[in-house]
Amino acid sequence: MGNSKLYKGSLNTIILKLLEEKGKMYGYEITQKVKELTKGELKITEGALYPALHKLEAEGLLDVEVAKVDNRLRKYYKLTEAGEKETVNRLAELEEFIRSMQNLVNPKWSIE
Amino acid sequence: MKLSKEQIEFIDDYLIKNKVKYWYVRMELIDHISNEVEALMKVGSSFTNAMQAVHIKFGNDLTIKRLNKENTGWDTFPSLYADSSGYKRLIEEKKQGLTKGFAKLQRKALKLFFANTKSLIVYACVLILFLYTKEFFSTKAMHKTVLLLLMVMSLIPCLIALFNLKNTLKSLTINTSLLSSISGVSFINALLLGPKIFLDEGEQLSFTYIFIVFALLFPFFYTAIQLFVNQLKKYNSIHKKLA
Repeated sequence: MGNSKLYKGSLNTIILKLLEEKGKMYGYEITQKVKELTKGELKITEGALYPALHKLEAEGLLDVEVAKVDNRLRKYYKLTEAGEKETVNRLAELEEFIRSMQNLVNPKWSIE
Repeated sequence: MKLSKEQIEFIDDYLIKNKVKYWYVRMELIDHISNEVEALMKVGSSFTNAMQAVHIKFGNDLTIKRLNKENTGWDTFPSLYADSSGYKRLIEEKKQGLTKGFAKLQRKALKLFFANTKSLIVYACVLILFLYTKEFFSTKAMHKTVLLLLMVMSLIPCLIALFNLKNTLKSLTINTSLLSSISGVSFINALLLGPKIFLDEGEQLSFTYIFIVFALLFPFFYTAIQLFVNQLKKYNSIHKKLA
């Protein structure tokens, strides 16, 4: 499936889930991890990733940390306490959405 | 293969020339571009070719057109400074993301304001004081006082930003946070100055109306100041750690 539009609405949830698993990540690392996990099907563009990260940061769901790595500065993102709670909510919402979609597309099949 | 200090400086200079003026945005882009360039160089690309590939990947054009010597057609050259529309778009989208994020945070902060005992006590004291002063001043004077008070509250983030000018100018986040926190000025204009157009000469807005507007806008400006100060504190602390 090469349709990135289907993933677009879930980009924030994908970012929150990755940060929940890895603790802290930087922008490029997120793009590579998503590419790896989806076997190249989903390529997050910089134009989509950074605005999403900044929106989540402004909402108070992400905190930032800057460290010097390889002659340059690197901005790491990590979940705040509010971000951790929001991740649980958004993942539950996403699972519910997937379940509803499965019922619509293939009523006989269920992930339960 | 890791990039040298000179190559990193080249990327910084390249971004400055491509009008990425905010230092924090540049810092993040330098790291991202460096990672991309390193990955390309690992598979055999030269630094120059890798930079050109990344320039295009960010949505910028690489070609400069010049009229040839004979004036009969165009000669084309690749240049990293031909076009920076990709970066412009990225910064604009970042701004939009931040504005949406701050609007959401402001709504949350307002909910917390009305759920927090300390802020409710402050709010109640301010409103009681307001009602008390009514005894000593005319409605016209109260109108002017409310106007002035709300204007001052909306300008507090600007004054704080002025005292932290260096960090404010460096960060797109602080800039957008500042704009969000002073966006309430339009409410002052619309609610306290606008209605005067519909009043006859010598007529005044009623005290009840002025009181309601003040009661509605005070929590907005109060939380806006808090949110801006929190953002500034966060970035000042990052800056201190880097120094």
